[in-house]
Formats: sequence, C-alpha cells, structure tokens
Amino acid sequence: MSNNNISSDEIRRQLRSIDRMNEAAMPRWRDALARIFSGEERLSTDQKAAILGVPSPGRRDLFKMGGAALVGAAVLAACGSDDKKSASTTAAPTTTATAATTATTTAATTAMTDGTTATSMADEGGAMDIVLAKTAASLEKLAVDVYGTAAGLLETAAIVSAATMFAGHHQMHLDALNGVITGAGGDAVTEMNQAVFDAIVKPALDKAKTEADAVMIALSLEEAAAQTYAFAGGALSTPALRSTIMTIGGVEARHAAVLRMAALAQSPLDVFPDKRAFFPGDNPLAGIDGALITS
Amino acid sequence: MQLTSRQFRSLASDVDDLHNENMKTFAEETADLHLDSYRLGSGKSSRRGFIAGSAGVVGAVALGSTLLLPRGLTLSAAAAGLDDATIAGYAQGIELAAVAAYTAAAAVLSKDTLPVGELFMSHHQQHADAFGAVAGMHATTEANPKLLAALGPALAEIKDEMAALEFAFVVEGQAAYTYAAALTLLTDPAYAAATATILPIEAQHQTVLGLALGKSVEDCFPTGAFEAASLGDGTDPLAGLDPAVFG
Repeated sequence: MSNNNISSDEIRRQLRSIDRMNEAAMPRWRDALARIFSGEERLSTDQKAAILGVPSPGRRDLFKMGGAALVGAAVLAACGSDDKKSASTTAAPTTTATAATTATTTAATTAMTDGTTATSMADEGGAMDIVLAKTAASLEKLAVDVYGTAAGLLETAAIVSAATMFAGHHQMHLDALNGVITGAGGDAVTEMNQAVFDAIVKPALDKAKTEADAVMIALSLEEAAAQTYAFAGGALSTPALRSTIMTIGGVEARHAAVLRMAALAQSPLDVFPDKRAFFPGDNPLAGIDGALITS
Repeated sequence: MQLTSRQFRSLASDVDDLHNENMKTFAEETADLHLDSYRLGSGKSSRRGFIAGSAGVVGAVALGSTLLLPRGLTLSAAAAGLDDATIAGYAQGIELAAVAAYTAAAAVLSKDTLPVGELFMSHHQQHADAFGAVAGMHATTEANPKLLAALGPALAEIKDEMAALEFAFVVEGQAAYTYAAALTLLTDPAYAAATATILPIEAQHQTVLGLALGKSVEDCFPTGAFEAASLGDGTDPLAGLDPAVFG
C-alpha cells in the first residue's frame, strides 16, 4: 500500500477547517443575494441572467463539457414576459453561520452598504430575481448531487476527502440561496437542475467507469461554475455584487486547479489550457430548454 | 473612457494571441513535461513535483517573518475614491511588478520549474497589457516602484527555488485579493468583466504554486472558501495591495 503524501486524517482535519471558514463567510453572500431579491438592486435581464449563469436574450454561447458542444440560444426570451411585480420587502438575510468578523467579511460588507447604485445598464423589474435565484440554487444542487453520485467511483481516500469538501461548499452555497429564496416568500429549491443534468451531466455520468472519469466530470462542473461567475462578475449591476460573486468564482477556479493537478496528475501547465492568461468569461450555459426554474 | 466588454476582450485576445505565438517554442519544449509527484495519494514526495532535485528549504528566507504580520487594512477610503482608469493603471503597474519579480526569481528555478515561471510571467505581462489598454492617461510602462521597493529585500534574500516559489505563492494570492477588492470599486461593467477574467488566473497561479510546494489542499485556499476582498499594506499575505500605499 502506497503511503499517501497527505494522510486521510489530515485531509479530513483540513476539510473541517475549511468548512468553518466557509460558514463564517456565508453571511456576506446571503446579504448580496438579499439585495438582489429585494429589488434594491436594479438589474437588467442580462445581469440577472448572469447571476445564475443562464443565457440572456440574443446571446449565443458555447458550452462544452465532456466534448459535447451546445450552441446558446435566447432562453431568457421568457424573461420578456416577466412578472413586473417586484419584491415589496427587503429580504433580511438569514444566516446559520457564525458571523465571525474577518477582514474579508468586513470589506465586502462595507462595500455593499456604501450606497453604490446600479450601473448604466437598463433597469428591469425584480420579477426575474427569484427565477434566477432558483436556477442558481438548482445548479448548486446539481453540483452537490453530481459529487455524491460520482463518489461511488472514487477510490483514493485523499480524493474522496477533497470531493467531500467541495460538495460541502456547494451545499453551503445552496443553503444560502435557499435562505434568501424562502425569505422572499418562495419555496426552497430541493432538486437539481434537471434540464442541465439531462442535457449535459447524465451523458457524462453514463460513460464514467473510473475514478479519473468521475474527477473529470467534477472538473468540468467546477470550470463551468468558475466561468459562469467570471461572466457574472462583469454582468451584475453593482460593484459589491460583482466582487462577492468573484470571491466565490476564484475559489471555483482553485477547485479546478486542485482537481487537475492533485487528482488527475496533470501538469501545472494543463491548468491553463492553451496557456490562457484570461479565464473564459462568456456565459457557459447554453440555451437548454427548462434550465430556468420558473416555479 | 467607455469600452464594451467585447472591445476589452478583443484587446486582451489580441495580446493573448501575440504572446501565445511567441511562446510556441517553449511550449513545444515542455510538451512532455509530466509533473505528477504532487498527486493525491500518489505515495510520492510532494516536495518533488516540478521542483527537481529539491532537498527541502535551503537557506530560510525572511519572507515569512516580513509578510506574516497581523491582518492589514480593509478597503481604504483613498482606494474607494479611485476611478476605473486609475485603478486599471494601478493594476498595470502591479502586474509589471509581478513580471519583474518572476524575472528576478528565474535564476534559481530548475529546468522543470522554469517553464511554469515563464508561463506565469507571460500571464502577468498580458494582464498588464490588457489593463494598460484601458488605463488612458494612467497607463504606465513601469513596474510599480513602491511595490518593487517593498519586495526588493525579500527578493534579494531568495537563494533557492523553494524560497522563490514561496515568495511567488504569497504575491499571487495578494494579486487575487487585490482584484476582488478592485471589483468593489470598478463602476464600468467592462472593466469589471475584464478583472473577473483575471482574478481566477491569479488564484490558480497560487494554487499551482501551493501544490508544487507540497502544501496541503487546505493551504491552497488561504482565505478559505472565499477569496479575500480586503486591501493591506503588503505585509499581510491574506490581503490585497492597497493603492493608498502603493499608488
């Protein structure tokens, strides 16, 4: 039996530490989402779509996962029939995490309460906010479920631990999104995004036979998530929201790097396909029918 | 100066193409590079990786003592008053300082590590070019002199590859946090969009370096599950670089 360079016990200890830090930072994310749903933030359809990484009208994007390419379509045309009724109350962010005072949280909170107004992008009603939030939550749930399903193929203890940690992060993101959704009177999202699963994930899972296959699926999800956040980082309406999104997006990119190097034994150079100096910022989700959670 | 996201990305893409063209030679040379010694559960020493022949840290660098001080400042009032073009110019200078740092550190990198260092240096040059393209009158051709002055002593202390990589590990994280903080200030979505495509790269730089150094997976997420978005005076490895200090 080979000696793991990182013992499983050590990995588990480190994962618990990361979880504690993640919980401490969640209140900031909840606050940002609450601002979206309350209507305090005036978002265009494009910006709202960007929040949860769904296509906007007129965009043509490519989403590639496991070799399959899908051409984007105007999924959010449906947003044209928005319910223009916006949220009438400000959803007070709820948190189950200890509001640990950290420089990170303090800076983000300060930025989010500075009265920053929306950018020059056209104002839109808040009707699509819950739709977009539910879609985002469903994508987080998808990630949680995929990590769970793929775990059956994982054999290496250290890889299992890393995957568990990443799944835990996605669960916390889901919890935060649901906290705001229910706070705004909506029903919590409990199901994965079935449309995206059927169109993209399931085909990959059906073919997966090895640990490496499972890790590749996770990698694709992480990179898609990171790309979605990179897109959202420029599409959200306020600087505070953009920053908050990218405090998550950067970590998703780190997840991908860890999976490539530590789980797939890829070269550091492989972390940057085509030696890219810029992370893809186009919306990676294509026009998948049903990807928007409207009920 | 207003730029659409498309225009900004086009500029960045042009720069990327130019640099990629220039980098073809070393890419071919490193095509066979396999760096699997840091693989989880591989049973191999994590110290090896692409740090060929390393025998642990030789010649302790004073970097740790100079950088690991109490948490730095949060977003400064001065930083909050900067416009987008000024921030872009500042970022350009920071990126050029990173290029200079990698250039200085290259002398102690092994043949296995050097290609990675050169790639990261190329990235920072491309980032600098992209920011410079939209910095208007704030564009610069010089590495941030205050940052270089701050980093100089630490750079001078670098005697071996491990020390160089540890140094770079900290700087890359600070770069990522700087951009997370910058996003709280940038008002033009085009500037924000560009910054959002650079932040993940810096984060990945740090992660790659961490794994190559044999750090734990946890240590590759120095600020946990969220990137820090605070700024400091450079002494805090968990905070970005405050333009009020280095501007």
